[in-house]
Amino acid sequence: MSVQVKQRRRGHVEPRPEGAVQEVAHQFEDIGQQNESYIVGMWSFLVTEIMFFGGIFMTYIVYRTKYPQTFTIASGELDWKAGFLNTLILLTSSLSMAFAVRNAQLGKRWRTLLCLGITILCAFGFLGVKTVEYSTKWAHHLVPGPNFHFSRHGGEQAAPADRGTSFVEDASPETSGGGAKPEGEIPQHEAQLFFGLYFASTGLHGVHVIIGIILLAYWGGLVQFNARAARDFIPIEMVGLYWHFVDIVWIFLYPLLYLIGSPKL
Amino acid sequence: MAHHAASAHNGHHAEMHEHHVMDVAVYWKVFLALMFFLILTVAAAIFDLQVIIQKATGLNIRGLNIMIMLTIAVIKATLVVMYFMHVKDGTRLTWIWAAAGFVWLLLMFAMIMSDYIARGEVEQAPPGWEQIH
Repeated sequence: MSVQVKQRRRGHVEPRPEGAVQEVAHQFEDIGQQNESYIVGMWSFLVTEIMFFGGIFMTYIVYRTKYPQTFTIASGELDWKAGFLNTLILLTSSLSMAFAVRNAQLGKRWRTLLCLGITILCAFGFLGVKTVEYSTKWAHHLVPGPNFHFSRHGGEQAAPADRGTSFVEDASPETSGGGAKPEGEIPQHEAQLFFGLYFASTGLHGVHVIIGIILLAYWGGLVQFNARAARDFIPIEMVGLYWHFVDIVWIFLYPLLYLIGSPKL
Repeated sequence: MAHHAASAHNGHHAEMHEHHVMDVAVYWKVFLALMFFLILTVAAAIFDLQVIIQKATGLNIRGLNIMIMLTIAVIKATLVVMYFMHVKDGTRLTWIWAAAGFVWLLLMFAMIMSDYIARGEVEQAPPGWEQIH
């Protein structure tokens, strides 16, 4: 038996001498079992992440079906072009992450580093666009809280003096019911709910991007110094799985937040 | 006998071991497909397909735009999971784990929304509200 294990090990470490060196840890039968354990372990973490974001998506579905009209109008205040740019950046970062993993598989350290660097740059680009968006929302009184005031075109005009109570008055049955509403009579609490969801979901996503940058930089450092742990490509693959997951969340957030308000070119 | 079983075992694992280094071209194709679908998503948002189809055929399909956009999002996510996350070449256990989260999520959406709808808490938008903006 031990002979066979040895053969299997040897058979799969040696065929690609130029590729990444994978050592089989003593608790695993062979490299296949070891790789599968890592990948499945990472996926089980991602399942918890799916449920974590799932709660926010659930809330979104419930309130969007409850207040479809307000959500459509409030979404129109988001800059879909900034969202488009960010989607573009994230998809590009996913491509370079995939190439980083591929180069790690082939044991090409410098190319791996280059691809990880591009991924980190994209991540910072994403956060940069997000910062501009957040500060615009702040300036337009669209951050939920006592200063929240939603007006149709989100302009620079100051919120009315009685903004502290206005959202309560606006919640009267006549305006919160159905029917076409004239401009400016959007129930403030409903609009606030949309922006609350916007900040909660993109904020949580942004935190994931920041964690992603830390992971990418950490493993990039280990690759740079040729640390033993980074000679195997599996850790980079796992960082990649995390990064692509963050990308997938954004793929769903983008249309749900930015594109439901009939954007104009 | 024992030798036979061992070699079959070996063969099975050999397939698994090949951690399938994908072609560079595959990644680029997936990326281009993702770009194409991104542009398609934005196009589906800008052109009000519901109104266009209603004018052409008289059929009023509510929420057509978001349905198309979410379908595209599912396709994009599938591409990322299959190619970038290598589930396509993954083991069966990987497939099960990759699917599990999304399946449970859909179950949660379906159960909770059926409850909300059954209680009548989902407001039906009056006809024509889409035109107000």
